[in-house]
Amino acid sequence: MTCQDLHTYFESDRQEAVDLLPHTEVTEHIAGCVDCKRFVEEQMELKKYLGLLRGSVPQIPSSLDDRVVAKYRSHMLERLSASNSLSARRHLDLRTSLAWAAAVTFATIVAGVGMFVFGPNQQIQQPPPAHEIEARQQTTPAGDSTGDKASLRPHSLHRQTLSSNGSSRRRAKDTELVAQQSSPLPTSFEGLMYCDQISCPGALEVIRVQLSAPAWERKPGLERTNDIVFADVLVGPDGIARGIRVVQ
Amino acid sequence: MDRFETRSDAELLELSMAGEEGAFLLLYERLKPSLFRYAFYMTNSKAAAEEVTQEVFMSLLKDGKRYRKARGDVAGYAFGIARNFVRRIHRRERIYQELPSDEAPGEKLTVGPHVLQTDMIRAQEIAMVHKAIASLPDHYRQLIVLCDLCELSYVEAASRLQCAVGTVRSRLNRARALLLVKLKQSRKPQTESPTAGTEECLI
Repeated sequence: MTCQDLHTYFESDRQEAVDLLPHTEVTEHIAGCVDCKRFVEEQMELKKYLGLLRGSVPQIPSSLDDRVVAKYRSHMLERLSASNSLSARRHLDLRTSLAWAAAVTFATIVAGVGMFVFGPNQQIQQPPPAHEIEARQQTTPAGDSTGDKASLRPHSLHRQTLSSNGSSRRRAKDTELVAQQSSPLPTSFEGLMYCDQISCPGALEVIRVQLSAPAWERKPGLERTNDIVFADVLVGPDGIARGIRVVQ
Repeated sequence: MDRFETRSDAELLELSMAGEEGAFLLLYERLKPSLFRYAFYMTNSKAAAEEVTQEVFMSLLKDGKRYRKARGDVAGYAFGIARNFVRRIHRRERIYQELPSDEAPGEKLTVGPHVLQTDMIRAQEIAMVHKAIASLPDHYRQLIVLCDLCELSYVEAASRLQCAVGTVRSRLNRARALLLVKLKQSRKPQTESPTAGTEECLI
């Protein structure tokens, strides 16, 4: 055996090397080699010390086992409660989401209905065509001048209300839109004052009146005659005459 | 618990996380001794060893999902956690520097008057070895603890430390040599203490 062999034994496995020590080959080598003898002594001493230390490990207290088991149980309980609360929160979240969705949908519907009912665009109705008004007028007996009141609906019969909270821009736009509409007076009538769908709200009534000579004489284009001149006057609900048509 | 006897550590860990207390107890019984010993040798404190052992199992429960079979066995995984906790304890304890004293190693051990002299000498020697091991660099200390104290094979130690067996072998030899030097140094004050001559004798 060489010194290298001895060191290799101790490097590979000390216990195995120590077991080899009683062998005659090893004993002879140690007896003849001072370095190896010292090396082996050191290794044996180290083994002794480490053996001492190995035996000094205290017993694992049973309280540690109890603590670990208690910790395990509390951990499991926590996890269980956490998962329960998580599922409850998820359920709550779903309910809240549904409630919010329903609220938003309801608000949207209410806003839509409001726009439909009160919105300016929805309130404007197209006036009936002029020939319809004329046809209605012709059905009215000419002699029934005093009580003959034919209700006409030349334009919007609804109240014209602009959104009070609308912006000025919107209001201006609405006004412009209304102005673009044709005059609510039938074409055969001559306007006596400015009349549009805003200024002439409500139904117009036709009243046949007899005109005095000076009145109609002033009208240009009419020939001067001695006949009695009747005229149909369109009167608004406020009692103001809006238009006139001379019926000779 | 018997129904889990045939299960591997990995299966036991999985079952433990699923809430099987029996599986957890069995896993605890399997891993506890080595973990406690390792923690005790590394910290030289029973309380710290208990703390490390307890925390390792709690970590296994909390972070057990991170364990991958391909990277090693559960014991190695638990050992890695224990090593981290030991380091944490060392960092924590570092701020409490031990005051230098004239006491011989082992004198701080609490021994009662009934303890025999041999026990006292033994306790002193144990404390001396503990101190010598504690003064080793970490990578040497780990190997001394794993191979010489916890009696793991080189292969097992290599898998725990995730390094080659050859590295373990060579490091362990250097660690032993260094430990011997440290032990000699700690013995010196006792053996080479000047003996009083007759001229200094009071009597």
